[in-house]
Amino acid sequence: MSCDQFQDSYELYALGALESAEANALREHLATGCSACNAEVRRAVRQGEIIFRTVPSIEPPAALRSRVESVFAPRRASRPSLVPWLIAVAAMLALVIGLVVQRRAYDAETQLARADAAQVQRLSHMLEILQAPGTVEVSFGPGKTTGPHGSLFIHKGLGIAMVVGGLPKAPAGLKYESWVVPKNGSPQPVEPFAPDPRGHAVTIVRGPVNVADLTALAVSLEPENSNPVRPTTVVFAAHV
Amino acid sequence: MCSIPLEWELASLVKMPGKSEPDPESTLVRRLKARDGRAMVDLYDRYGRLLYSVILRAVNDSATAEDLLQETLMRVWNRIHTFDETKGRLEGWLVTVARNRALDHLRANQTSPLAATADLEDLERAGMFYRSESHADRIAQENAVNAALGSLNKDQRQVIELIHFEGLTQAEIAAKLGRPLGTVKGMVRSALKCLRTAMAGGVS
Repeated sequence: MSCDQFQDSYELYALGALESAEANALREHLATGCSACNAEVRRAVRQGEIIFRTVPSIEPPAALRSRVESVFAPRRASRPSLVPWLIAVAAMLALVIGLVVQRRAYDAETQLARADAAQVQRLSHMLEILQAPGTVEVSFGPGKTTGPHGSLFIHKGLGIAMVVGGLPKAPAGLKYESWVVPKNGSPQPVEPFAPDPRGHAVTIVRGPVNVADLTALAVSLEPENSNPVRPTTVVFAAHV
Repeated sequence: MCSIPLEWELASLVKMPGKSEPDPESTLVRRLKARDGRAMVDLYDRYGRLLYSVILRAVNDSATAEDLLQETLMRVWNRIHTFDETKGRLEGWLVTVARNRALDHLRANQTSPLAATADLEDLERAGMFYRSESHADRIAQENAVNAALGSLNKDQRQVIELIHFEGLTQAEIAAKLGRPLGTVKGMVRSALKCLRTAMAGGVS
């Protein structure tokens, strides 16, 4: 295939603004190792970078920096006991959920007030997964603004944290249950969980994960006082 | 036709002395890969304004832009291990991640579906990001492209902005502006040719 046919396409390809058929043709051509076209695409990307810098510069809200700092670099030891750490954990949970579901972060202190020891342990485990090197994020329902959507954070050694938004309150008498769906064998129940009033929820699979044998994490509705061995009504499945 | 002012052509010929200090981008990437949370704050201080501005230009809503910037930062934190600082520039990758979040949002909220375009995630591969030979080359390129942008006529400038900041295809631009597709393609072609020429002239 001749490089000439792509000469007007490099910039559009680099910006994701090329129609699918043309983009696929150019991608296949690039995969052949054509050095000239690969160089043109890199040049187009660089050109785009320069143009993006011409956007009118606007300062983000000052509060955003504080939230970034509280999540990624929380201050330590200004107060005795576990309180600062608990606040940091609660703030981390608040922002993580807010990020994934594209909503505003929770109020950290409110989360703290609700956190009990077991919950803190869960959050701690989730943070461990989120921050561990090698954790891979897999989005599901990407771009959705209604219905369940969110991300799986998968770490082979530590487990899986599923952060989900857009989950309505379970109907009366029913509860949500999460399931590991292997490629071979039956789904295995993980834990019951409930979304908060805004439809956000976290469910955690603890311990090593055989990713090669994993198809999905699924969520079902089950009778409230049951210990299900098979999913009754599957609400959604987040495929790996 | 576009013509690049002479002073920019001359400026592009001026070489700046090489810098010996460590590349701050590379240092930042190394810290991020070492899971240094403070590095994320430094990243925000260095690039937050640019990323927010790019997102806001696309979605035109400050609260949405704030949410999308937060999502961008978390994505960067979780995917920094996929970024190879020896092959690409961090700033380019960050802007692409931010822009993709904005375009995902726009596409999810379109009442009429946008045309099928390339998978945006494919654009985040580190190998896509140019790493020019020297700081001087980068300055020369920026000067040349900025000059070329300034020389575009109003129509050319508009289509370039729609492609870059709103991720529209030529067909979508034609529909948005109510102009024939052929006319839009002509405007895009001439504008890109002008920018391409400037890029080529910006590096000696």
